[in-house]
Order: sequence, then structure tokens, then C-alpha cells
Amino acid sequence: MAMVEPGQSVGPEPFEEFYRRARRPMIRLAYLMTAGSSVAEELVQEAFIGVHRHWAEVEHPDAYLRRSVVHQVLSHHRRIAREARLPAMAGEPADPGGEPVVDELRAAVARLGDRQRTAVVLRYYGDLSEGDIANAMGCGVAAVKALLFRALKELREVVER
Amino acid sequence: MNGHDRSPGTTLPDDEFELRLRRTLSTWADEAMIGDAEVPLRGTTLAPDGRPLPVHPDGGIDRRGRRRARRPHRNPALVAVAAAAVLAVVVGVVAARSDTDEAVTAGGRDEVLAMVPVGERGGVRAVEAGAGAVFVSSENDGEIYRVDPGTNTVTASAGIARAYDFVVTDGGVFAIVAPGRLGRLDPSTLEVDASVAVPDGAAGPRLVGDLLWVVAGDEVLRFTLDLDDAGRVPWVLGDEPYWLRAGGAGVWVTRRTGELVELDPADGRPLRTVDVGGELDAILVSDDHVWTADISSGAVIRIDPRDESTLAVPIGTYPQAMELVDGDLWVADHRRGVLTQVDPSTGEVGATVPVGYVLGGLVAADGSLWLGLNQQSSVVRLDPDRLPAAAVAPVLPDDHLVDLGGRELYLHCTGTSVPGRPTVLLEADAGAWSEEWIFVQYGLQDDFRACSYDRAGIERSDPGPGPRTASAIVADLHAALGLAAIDGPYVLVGQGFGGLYTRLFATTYPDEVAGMVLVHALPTSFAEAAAPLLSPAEREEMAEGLASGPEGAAYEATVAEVEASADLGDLPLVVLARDRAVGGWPDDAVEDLWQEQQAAMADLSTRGELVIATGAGFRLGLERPDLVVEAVNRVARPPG
Repeated sequence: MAMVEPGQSVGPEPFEEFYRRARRPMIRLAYLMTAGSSVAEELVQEAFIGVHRHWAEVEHPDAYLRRSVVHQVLSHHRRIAREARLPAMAGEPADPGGEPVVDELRAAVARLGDRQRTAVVLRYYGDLSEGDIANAMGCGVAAVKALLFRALKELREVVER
Repeated sequence: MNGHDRSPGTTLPDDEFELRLRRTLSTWADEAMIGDAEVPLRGTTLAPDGRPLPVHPDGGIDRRGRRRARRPHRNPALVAVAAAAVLAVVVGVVAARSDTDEAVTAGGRDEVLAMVPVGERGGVRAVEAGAGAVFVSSENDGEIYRVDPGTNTVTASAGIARAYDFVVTDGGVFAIVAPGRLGRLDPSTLEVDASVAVPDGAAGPRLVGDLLWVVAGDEVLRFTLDLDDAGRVPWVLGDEPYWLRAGGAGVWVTRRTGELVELDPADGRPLRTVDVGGELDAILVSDDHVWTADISSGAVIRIDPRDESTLAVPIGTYPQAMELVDGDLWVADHRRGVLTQVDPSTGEVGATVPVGYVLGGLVAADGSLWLGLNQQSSVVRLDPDRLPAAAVAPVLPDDHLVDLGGRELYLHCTGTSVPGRPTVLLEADAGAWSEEWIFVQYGLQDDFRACSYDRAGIERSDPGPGPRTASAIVADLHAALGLAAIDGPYVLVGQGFGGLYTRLFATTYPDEVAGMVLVHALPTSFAEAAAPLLSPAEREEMAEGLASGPEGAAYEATVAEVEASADLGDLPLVVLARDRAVGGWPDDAVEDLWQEQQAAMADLSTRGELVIATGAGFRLGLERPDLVVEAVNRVARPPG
């Protein structure tokens, strides 16, 4: 939520390079995790601020950032869901963003539970292994398998009917 | 969502399905608004005849130029409730003190001159004034709104691509109106009356002298107010977050690395660097000084450009927007939700006024302060002369990072111990942490020492070992209290999921607990009892919600522990339930069950009572802190 203004050109320090390299792909990832919400950029920014604070201790910045972004996204969803009275009801995505839905599969991804959607995005957009997804989501591999299994089942029903 | 029973018409091979899913995600990801997409200009949403639109227009033109119907994701009634909640914060905190000083209550209401809803999705980002109006941007809506200070209503709005920066002059409002397009909007209608191409991802504009600066790569593109090219100068500060402001004291940029850089307005080159230290964020340039905020220490810092002398004024955790009005500097603390008054010549801190949760921009216009409320989709108009009457005592830093054997637990305490009075412990809901209690702590601090904290693995506390069951949470808290010498007896306040932990704390350490307040607390049997009443999709959502995070993974064990613990005997207990009319469960049967179980929790003690928080929803601690304060007083000082 910090009001930072990203500038543009080359910075000498490693963090700045990391920021430049990782920011856009991470916003895209967060954008999918939030089912197309413009808040993605802000959540990623917040995660970067956290990474920056711990920059000296962070060994694997990509994994750290990803975990932090997932945390931001899921916290954001929890807040929104709690705002709309937990749990988010009737499969309506917590924050549908402004875009009209153009594709039934996309709509189905948007309707998934937040944790399911996060797992699907990390797997099929981020190309992460189940182990890395478990790491990013702070849960076990078995939980990731279960999330993906249930999510894919729902998505398949949409495209196959 | 009964697709589960449907037999598939066709069966796609796995790899084909996967490919399709990957393509869908990839296409969708490319639509993320970070600059590259080719996007036509959005039109203004003002009606063609120039009449003001209602605040929530039901149609608009989206970023791709397609007509769309707006789908508010929030019930408009909830927006109104959220707006009311902020007023409740202002009024509530003071109302809690009204038994001692009635005049203060009046002051609490008086300083809010108006509450203007802007947009519907929150994300209020920046507030600027000029051309006889106040302009507010919302990042989540991707819109800019014109607020008429005569009527305190939104009279026009338009889409913009970057909500961070816009410039208001009498001749127009300047903003990046679409990626790759700097536009000038008519300040009355917000129609785009001129625009010029700028590189994708360009940031700005900022007003420097009578030129607009737009930062793109390693260059600053400069334009006149007619959007004529005024040449380029180098941008030497690289690709890092920065804040730039120009004023009488020059053109200054803050860097996160703690430096303040003055730029030559003529050629963009750095004239000098002042090493202030910390992590510099917001900046305000007045005629003779530069003010900046160090978010690492929570101080605002005044720099005198003549001799580079500095004056640091500690404010709070996240000083953000700053504004000078009537000889005072007002600083908005983003996290504590307060405005703080500073004497700009001496640095003396004056009034600290709670105003709302998560603050956006701040600007002075028409003798008022206009403050963006990021989450509430609103801008609140405040009377600076009346603000001091609504002040609370500033929170003195009484934070503890307690070492629990190689990991730290963060506690945030306020107020001072009063002999004979219990210490109040505040346990937040799942997905929330100490900050959820800021307004309750303001309300309590005159009478009680009160401590909120971040449970292990949340915000500032390190993760804890083993399953995070209620007994592990309670053991952490109890150990931390001992190490930080925060003595009992305690009054426990638990919100939502946190109510489970306070219940187990009370039965584990009954001699140390003097009372309990359960705030919209989760009853142990609710999920199980509600399950048959929910649709499969709802059931899964609820199960997923409960199961999230390490504490969620231990949910069933936690419930078992709490249910196995003894009842609360004759412990003074108030169960504060949210209003069923405010965001209740859509299904009456489920809501009935929820309310029944709230009432049943009052029977956990022979001295339990149920209080319905009329008009308040699930974020009771933020919406009606006064009711929580009142309940604490009731259990901490029971009659007789």
C-alpha cells in the first residue's frame, strides 16, 4: 500500500535490478491470482517493500517474493471476503476487477476458490512444481495436489459440457 | 454450481485441456494493466449535456473501449455502512469518553464536514486540489473524480491509467489517461481536450515550474501546459521508487535509500544530495523547507535547504501524506489511521486525531483538509480548526519483540497500568493482526493498559513450531506476557477466530483472567452445524476459508481443545454480536444459526450477557470500537 512511484531506468544496486526484472512477471501472476484485479500491482508493490526490508537476509529472492505475493493475495482475498461476509458466497469471485469476462474457461478460473485459483495459476501459468507451490502457499504438497485436483475437475466440467 | 452431477458431453484429453488452460491464463495475464497493452483512450463518464452523474454511474466505457455494465462487487448498503463506520470511529472514540466531557463528543462530530463517496472499489490513491475543485483518484476503479466543494458531491469522473500521479492547474487536470498517452482533462467536465504520446510505462506527470515532467526510462520528457514539447532532460535516479515534488525550495526527490536529491529544474541534473538516512517516502516542498517521511523510523523530517540542517519529528508507524494548512503541518499516518498536527517551525507535536483505517492522499482546499480513505472509497472533508477537539493522547511507543527461544513475537501496548485495573489483551481474527485493534486501543488508553499482538507467523511475528493449535497459541502468548512483564489480571478480547484462543486462555489460566469480551467470535460448532444448510460450493468455500494458513490447518484440533475445556464459571463475559442486518448470511436459516450460537456463547458463564452491536458488521473492532471499549469497561468493572 505504500505510495511509491516506480521510475524507469537502470539502477546500480542488485535490489533495483531484481525489482526491474521481477516486477512485471510478478504483477501478471498476481493479476491472475486475483482473477484480473487492478489491485495486483499494489499487492506486488507491497511484497517488494517486504523483500527490500529483508534484502540482506534473503537467500532466494524469487521464492521469497513469490511467497510474499501469494501471502498478499490471499490476505487481500480474506479481507475482501470478510468484508463481503466470510465466506465469499455463491462462487462469485471476491474481486472481479473491471474486465468483462470473455471466455468461459476464464470465468471458471475466476469462480474458483482463492486458494484453488492461486494453485492453478502457479502451476499452469507460473510453471512451478507442486513442491514449489507448496512452499509459496505455505502448505504441504498433499494439500497442493488436492487443490489442483478439485480445481481441474471443476474447470474440466465447464469446458466439457 | 451443480455442475458436479453433470455428465460430461465430451472428454478432452489431458494435454489438450492443459494447453487450453495455459493459453487462457496467458492471454488473460497479458491484460494486466502494467503498460504494454495497446489501449485506446477512455472517454469521460460525464453525461453529454454536462449534468452531474450520480456517484455510482451504472455504465461506463472500459479500458478497451467496450461498453460495460458496472458490477459493483460490494453491496451499496455495505459501502454506506463502511462510510458510517469511519464516522463511528471518530465519534465512537470520543463517545467512550463522553461521561467525563460532553463538549468533546460534540467536537468529535463537528470536525467531519462531509463524507464524499468516490467510486466503489476502494484504492483511493491521491487527492489534489485546484481549479475550484478537489480531485481524487482511485487505483482500483482506474478513475479520477471531481468533487465540487460547494455541494460535496462528485460532479464528473473519467478513466486514467495511473492513479499515482496527476497535476491540477486552472487550465486543466493532467494525467496519464491511457498507457502511452499524457492527457489534459477539462477541470469541470474531465473530458480529455488534448493529449500527446509518451512512452509506455511513463510515470508522472509532475509540475515543475510551469512545465510538466514525465519520467520515461533515463529521460524526463517535458511539456508545456498546452502539451507542446518542451524538450528532454536526463533522469539520473534510475529505476527505483521515488517521490518528486517541486516548490519554492526547489525540485526535490526522495530515495528509499535515505537520500534527498535536489534537481536543477533547467537541466534535470542533481545539484546536491542530502543524506538524511532511513527509508524516505512522501515529500512536501514548501517555500522554505523540504519535508519528508522516514517510514523505517516513523518520523517526519524537516530539511532546511540553506544549511541542510534537519529536524526529525516522531509520528507513528507509517507517516505518509503531509499537508500544510493555516500554519500547521498535518501528517496522515497510514497504519494507525490518525492525523497528527505538527508545528512546522518548532516540530512540536499537537493533536493526534483518529480518522479512519488506511489513508489515501491529503490536500488542503477551501479552508478544509480533504483526506482520502483508501479502503472506504471515500474522501472525508475535515475542519482543521475543529480537529484538535477530537484529539486522543498520542500513542507512546510501548512495543515489545519478545524472544521465544529463537523466534520473536510482536506485542503492541498502549496506555499505562492503573493499580487495581486489569490489563486488556486483544486477540485478532484470522487474517487480521494487531492493527485491527488500533481504534479500540485509542478508546482504552486513558483507562487501561491494553496490548494487541501478532500471532506467530503473522506480520511482525516469526512462525512458531508444530501445529498451530489453540494450546500452542495460548502458550506463546502466556510466555510472551511473562517475558515482557505484562502482568495480569487480564481482560481478554477475542474477535472472530481469535475468540477460540481467548476462551482456551481463560480456562487454562483461570486465576489470571478477570473477564472476557467475545467480538463477533466464531462459535466452535458453527461450521459443522451450518454445513447441511449450505450449498456444496458454499460449504467448500467455508471449509477452505477455515483451513487457510497454519492456524487453519489446526482448526479441528483447536475446536476440540476449546470444546474440551471447562466452561467459564462466573467469569464476567460480554458476547458482542454483529447486527444481523449488516452483512448477515444470505440464507436466513444460516444467519439464525449464527445468531443463536452467539447467544449460546453468553451461557458459557453464569455472568455472560449478549449485546447486539446495532449497525455494525463483522469488523466490529474497527466499525464500533466504542462498543468494544464499553464492553471491556463492563467486564473489568462489574457492578457490585
